[in-house]
Formats: sequence, structure tokens, C-alpha cells
Amino acid sequence: MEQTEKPHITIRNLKKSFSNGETKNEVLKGINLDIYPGQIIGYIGPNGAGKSTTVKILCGIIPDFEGEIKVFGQDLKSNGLEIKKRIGYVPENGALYDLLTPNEYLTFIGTLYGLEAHSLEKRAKQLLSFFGMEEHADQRMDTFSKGMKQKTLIMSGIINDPDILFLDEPLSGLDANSVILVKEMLTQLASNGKTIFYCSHLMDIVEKISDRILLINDGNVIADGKFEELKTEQSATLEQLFAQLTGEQNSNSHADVLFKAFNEN
Amino acid sequence: MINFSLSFVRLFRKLIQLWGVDYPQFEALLRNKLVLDFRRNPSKHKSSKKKKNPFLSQLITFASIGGFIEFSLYSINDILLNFTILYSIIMVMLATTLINEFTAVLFDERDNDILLARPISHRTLLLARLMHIQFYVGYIALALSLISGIVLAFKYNALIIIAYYLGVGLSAWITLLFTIFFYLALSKVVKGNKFKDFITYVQIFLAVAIFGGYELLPRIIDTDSMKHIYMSVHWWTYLIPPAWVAGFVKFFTFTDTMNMAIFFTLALAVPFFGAIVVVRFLSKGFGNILGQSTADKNSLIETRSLKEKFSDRLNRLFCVTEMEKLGWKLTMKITRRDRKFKQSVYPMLGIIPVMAILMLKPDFRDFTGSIHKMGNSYRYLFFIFLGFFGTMSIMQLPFTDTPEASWIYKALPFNQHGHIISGAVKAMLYKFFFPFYSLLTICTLLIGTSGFFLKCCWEDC
Repeated sequence: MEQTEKPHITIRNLKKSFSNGETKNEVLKGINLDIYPGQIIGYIGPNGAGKSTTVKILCGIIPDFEGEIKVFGQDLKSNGLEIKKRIGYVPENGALYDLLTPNEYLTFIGTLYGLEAHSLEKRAKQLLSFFGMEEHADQRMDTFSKGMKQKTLIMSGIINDPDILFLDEPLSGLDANSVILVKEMLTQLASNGKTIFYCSHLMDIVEKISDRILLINDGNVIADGKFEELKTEQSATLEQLFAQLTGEQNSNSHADVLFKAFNEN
Repeated sequence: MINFSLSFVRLFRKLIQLWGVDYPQFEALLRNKLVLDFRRNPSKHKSSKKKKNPFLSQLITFASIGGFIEFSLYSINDILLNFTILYSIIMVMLATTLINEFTAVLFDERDNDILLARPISHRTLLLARLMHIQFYVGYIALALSLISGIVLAFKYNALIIIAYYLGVGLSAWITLLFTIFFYLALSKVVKGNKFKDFITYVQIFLAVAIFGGYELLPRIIDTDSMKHIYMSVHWWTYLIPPAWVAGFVKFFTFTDTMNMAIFFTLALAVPFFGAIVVVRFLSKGFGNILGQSTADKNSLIETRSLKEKFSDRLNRLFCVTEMEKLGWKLTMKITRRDRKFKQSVYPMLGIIPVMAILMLKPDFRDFTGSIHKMGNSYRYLFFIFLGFFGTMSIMQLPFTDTPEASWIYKALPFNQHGHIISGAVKAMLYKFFFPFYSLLTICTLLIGTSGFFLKCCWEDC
């Protein structure tokens, strides 16, 4: 059924390298993807595999890359502004202005998306109440816990009612109740035809909520499909599959070597 | 104050939209920046407990500098020359402040993750940043011209004074445009992290040059002849930005109208069309600078050099405990890599030679003669004192952008924190005091002995 619809995102031969002094460090080595509306994509991979780089390129934060990216059928390089209006982004590392209050921050971000003051106020209120943050709506965020900041980030990511939502490690710092809320929210959004693109290291959550799992290692996509399709006899969970495919299956013996080295000294 | 400033900017709404900027976004960005500035506690990261507003004291300094400058120019009778010099000084001071203090604001990467994913055009973002800076530069320009305007009021009529203040606004905007133009042109030639290093060196050079200029220039200018200097208009006069603004002021005396009308037009047209060029056509380069800095996160890893091995040997020689060695090594690494540290310490070191010249006041027309004279007078012993300027770099040790990282010292199981600090201080002395001190001591010896030899020669004769 997916093939009958037009993809939201098409990526052809995406390459990105960072210059590291004299040497070139190739982070993405030719990624090809078609992502369809209503999918929840779990984008996983070891540290430094290029997950955040992919997301930052797709959001337009990193402007120069090789290859072709089309979002909503438009070229990302030439129509970046139009595309950005219809996407949402939840950055990692809690990047927000923590001297503002959640209300002020949401108003600021909403204005950047060109939302009218009235509808913006209404939306902000709904979001704040959904996340149970009404009583903190007018407090400065510099005293907030990591989880509360993270909730504000998620709210600011969906304030423009985006058709594609990128989330980079969105559950870090959230308590169990909020995790449930976010999971529900993501499923709801996907069933309304939105595309969710989701980076995480939390394998059990990715395994449960993703329609499609993309595993990236060393700049290449090495696994792509539903978890049911990907799992094998040896790897009944996503965690085991991850370890198997990224070459860390004998982590027990690795640990042995490490502790031996510690004891020798 | 924020609302007042924003409604002032709103007067230019049509003009700003003409530059291709999304006005509601622009205003939201500007408001956000100003709100953040007002909420930020200025002395949060500094160890001192001063509650004074540093910006206010800076403004007071600028106001008195402006007053002094106009006092010293008061005897000039030619209105064009008077204002050209005055505006030149204002522009140079603004440009220096801009490059030294506001470059970081212009190329702020901390909110890349927040802003770059939103549908904001480069133009809007650039103009919002420029206006944010202009907010402060405007205050500085106003402070600079406040007292000088009063001094000028003794000499000229009210119309000229009003034109003078308008001219100050224009020169602030022209300076900002020229500075950003310089940056954007530079970014086309020098890329990535090198661009930032380059700017650091420009900043260091400027700091030294300005200090030297302010100290040396007034000593060279002959004040008596100032009354009779007259500035005539040549073709190249039209290339000097301060002259445009000065001509803009002189236009209101309604003399020499032809020439002044050209200056008048230039002073108004350049800010307007310059903004179009910068905002409409060059803003893409600005976006690329921002994007690049996101990409260029992993900067080069230095290989161990011979110099470092030498410093390791000294480390073992000078430092007693392991903790001291650790403090030394950490300090050596950070002082080499931290751009902010270089920015604050290197200009201070650059000032040493300027100070040396100032204190000794050598006569440049008879250089060897004055060196010999110095040898006789024991004034050269000042050199040794100057060497101690290098120790001022130690003052910079407590400042860091990442104070959070210090948790490690509290968490570690040892209580000899002093050893880390003494190691750090030793490293600073080795790096910033020892080389200058030994160099200056050699100079002192040379000058001292040259006098001694000279004396011997005289006695022989």
C-alpha cells in the first residue's frame, strides 16, 4: 500500500564529510531512502554513526551535503524555506532559551512559523495542558529539570502542526508517565498521516513504536524494515539485533579483556 | 525599554520589508534577543562580586572620551575637517568595539539548533542579528557624541548640532555595514575554523593598534598649527566615509553647496543601498558561516611536537607533585586551544612593546643617540618592570566558558587543590612571563652596556 502513495522524503546518494584538519572524515557514505506518510521511523545506530547528522541535514541545519534530498516532492536545497514551514524538529541536548518561560518560548517559535497570535495562544495552551505543564507555563526554564525542558522542546517541535516531525533522542530525561504520553502522541500523529522520524538509543521503545526501523552503521544503512521482518533466530530483541549487526555481539568477552587489563595494573 | 526600541524600529518597517525581510519573524527574533540580554545576569560567570552594570560604566567611559576628543579638536576652524576627524574617531571606535565585542554575537552558534530548523530566511536572521548589535552600538555612539555635542554647541548653531546627532546615527549604521561586509568578504576567502582564527588575530592586532594609536598619535600632532589647517575636497575625499557624514553636517551651513550635496547624498544613499547589498545579496554567505560552524565541530587534533616534549621535561623539573604536573599540562593544553583565552591575553602581551616605547620616549629622528642617552640615564631599567606584564595573564585563569566541568575537582578523592593551581600558575609563568622577561632583560643589558661602552669611549677621548 505504501508504494501507491508519494513518499514524503526521498534521499538519493546522500554523502556528508567533515574536514578534520587535513584528513576528511566521511560520516554519511551514500544513503538512499524513501519515507512514506504515516510511518514512524526508528532511526538507530551506534554512537557517531551519523544519526544526528542525517537529521540535521534533513532539517536544513547543515546546508552543504552531497546528493539529492526531496521533501514533499521539493528539492531541499532550493526550497528549504517552504519545506521548513511543514516540518518540526526536536533537537537533542536540550537546546532552548532557558531564560524564557515555556509560554514565551512557544510564542516565539510559533511566531517564527508565522502563526497568528490568537491561534498560537490556543495551541500553546492545549499543548501545555497535554503535558501537564500549565502551572509552570510562566516560570523561567533555567530552574527546570531536564524532563520539563524536554517537554517544552517537544511542544515547540509540534506547535506548527508539522507534516514531518524529526525527533533526536526525545525521551531523554522524561519520567515514565511522560514517556507514555509522548508514545501516544507519536502514534496519534502517525495515524493522522504525519511522518515521524525518530533517533534513539532506547531499543525497547524503538522496537515497540516504530513501523520501520533503519539501522545505520559507519555511514551506511545496514538494515531497513519492520522489526518482525528483521529479527532472526539469534536476535529476538532489537537490542540483540543491533549488537549482531554492528559487530558487538561478543561484548561479554570484550568486557573480560577490559577487566583483565584493569586487574593487571 | 525593549518595547520602546522595538516601536522605534517599527517606524522603518516598510524599509526593512523592502530589503526582503519577513517583518514579524524579524521582530520576534529581535525581541527575543533583547529579552534574553535583560534577563541574563551579567556577572553570573565572573568570580568577582561586583554588582555594577559593565555596559553602563563602558558608556560613561565612552562619553568622557568623546568629550575629550572634541575638546582637543576645538581649535580647528574648518568645519569639514573638524567633523571628518570627529566622525573618523567615532567610526574607528565603533568598529573596534564591534569587532572585539560583538563578533561573537553576530556568529553565535549556540542557537543554531533552535533557529536553523525554522523557516527563517538568511536575510531575516542576518538583519535581526545586525539590529541586535545596532541596539548596543547605537548606545555607544550616543554616549560618544553626548558630551562632544555639548562642546560643539558653543561653536555651531542648533541645526548643525541636530545634523551632528543624525550623522552619528548614520556613521554607526555605516560602520556596522562595512564591518559585516568585511566579514562576509573574508568568509569567501578563508573558510571554516580558519575564519574564526583569522578574526581572533584581527581582534588582537586591532587592540594593540588602537592602544598604540591613542597613545602615540596625540604626541605626534602639532597642536599649534591646527587652527590653520583647511580640508579641501579632492576626488578621493569622496571615498572617505567619515567625510560623507561630515559633508552631511556641513550641508546645513549652506556653503559650498555643490560638493556638500554630493556628500549629503552619499551619507544617505550608502546606508540604504549598502543594507540592500548586505541583506539581500550577501546574507547567504552569512548562513553558510553559521551552517559551517555546526558542521566543523571536530577541529584538528594536534600531534605532539618537539616543543611539547621540551615543555614536558620542564614540567618534570618545575613541578613537584603529580597534581602540579597535571595542572601544568591542563593549562598548557587549554591556553593553546581556547580562542577566548587568546583573545583576552594576547592583546595584553602585544601592548608590552607599545608600553616600552611610551615609557622610554625614544627620539625617532636620532635613534642611536637616544639609545645611548638611555644607557646613561638608567631609565632602561623600566624594561625589567615591563616583563612583569606577562604575569597579568594569570588573572585570566579563573575564567572559562564551561564552569560546569569543575565538578570533577569536587568529586575526586583528594584535597590538595592548591597543587593544581600552583601547577597552572607555573605553566603560565613559563609560557607568558619567562619569554618576555628574558627578552627584555637582554634588551636592558644591551642598552645598559651600550651606555657603559660609550662612557668608556668618551673617557678615552
